[in-house]
Amino acid sequence: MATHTDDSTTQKGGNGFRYSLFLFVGVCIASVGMIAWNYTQQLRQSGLETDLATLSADVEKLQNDDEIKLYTKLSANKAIIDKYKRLSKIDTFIQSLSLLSRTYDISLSGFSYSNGKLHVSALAKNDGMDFLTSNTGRYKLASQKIAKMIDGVRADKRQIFQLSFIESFVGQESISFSIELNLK
Amino acid sequence: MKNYYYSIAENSQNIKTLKEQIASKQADHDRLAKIKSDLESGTAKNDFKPYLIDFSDSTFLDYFYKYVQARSNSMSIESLTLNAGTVNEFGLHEGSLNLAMNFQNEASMIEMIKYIVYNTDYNFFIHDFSYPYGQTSGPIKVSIPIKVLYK
Repeated sequence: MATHTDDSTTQKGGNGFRYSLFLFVGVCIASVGMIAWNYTQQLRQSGLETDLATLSADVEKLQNDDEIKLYTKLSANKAIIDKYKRLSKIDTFIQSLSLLSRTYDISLSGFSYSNGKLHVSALAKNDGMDFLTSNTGRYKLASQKIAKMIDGVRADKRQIFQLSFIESFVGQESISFSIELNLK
Repeated sequence: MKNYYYSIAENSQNIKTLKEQIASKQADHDRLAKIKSDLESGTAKNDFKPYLIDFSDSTFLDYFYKYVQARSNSMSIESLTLNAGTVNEFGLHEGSLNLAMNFQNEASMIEMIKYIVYNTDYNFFIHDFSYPYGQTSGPIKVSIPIKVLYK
């Protein structure tokens, strides 16, 4: 009985030693693994830092390129530059004015344009006492010509200008007035 | 052991952050590289060209006088004044030219205005202009103030 207990104790002691040994070996392997992993990660981190530094230097070089800087400015202000171009189409404004004059039989004079605002003097004359000519449908009375022009320009969606409120009309047979047109 | 664990955790976080930073920088780099490529050979080249000019007296002199002298029967230059200007609110130089001219008629004046505004070599703009519209069918004397945008 006592021998059996001794054997059992010796066996338990042997198992404990083996467990401890396994544990020790396990801890050693884990430690070596962690050291190796840590080392690998540090190498990787260092590699990424180098990549980032190289890329940052390339980006900075591109950002400092004169043409790219200019392009960036232009892109940021594209709307303003497009407006600059639109405001410069003097030939189109003159054409538009001539069309308006022909369409409504109103004489226009004195083209004065500044930053999208166009001022002209206008004169409409009575062509007779009838309200309409029978065959053309054009108005004969100066006041009718002007009223038709005002309504027509304001209603025309293709019109490049917006007609401002007209504050005064001078005369009756011949009516003179000023027109202010604002580029839409 | 404990220190290694913390070190690994910290390294993992650093690697993640670095990867994000690299991805962001790479995107910036690709965008800028595309712009550069477009400016050198692509679609943006022609739009961009007029901004790269220098404000050169000889260039502008040649540009206007050559055109007008070829049409001397319908137009003539009285004077051309140049001002290099300063940098405007959006970071470009805004120079100014003033062209005092005589035209045989309105048609020749409009021809000159088109030559100024619709050219592809310079950014010329006319934002102020007056002339005796409808008051003459003969010669017209006008002053054409021109804005120039450049680098």
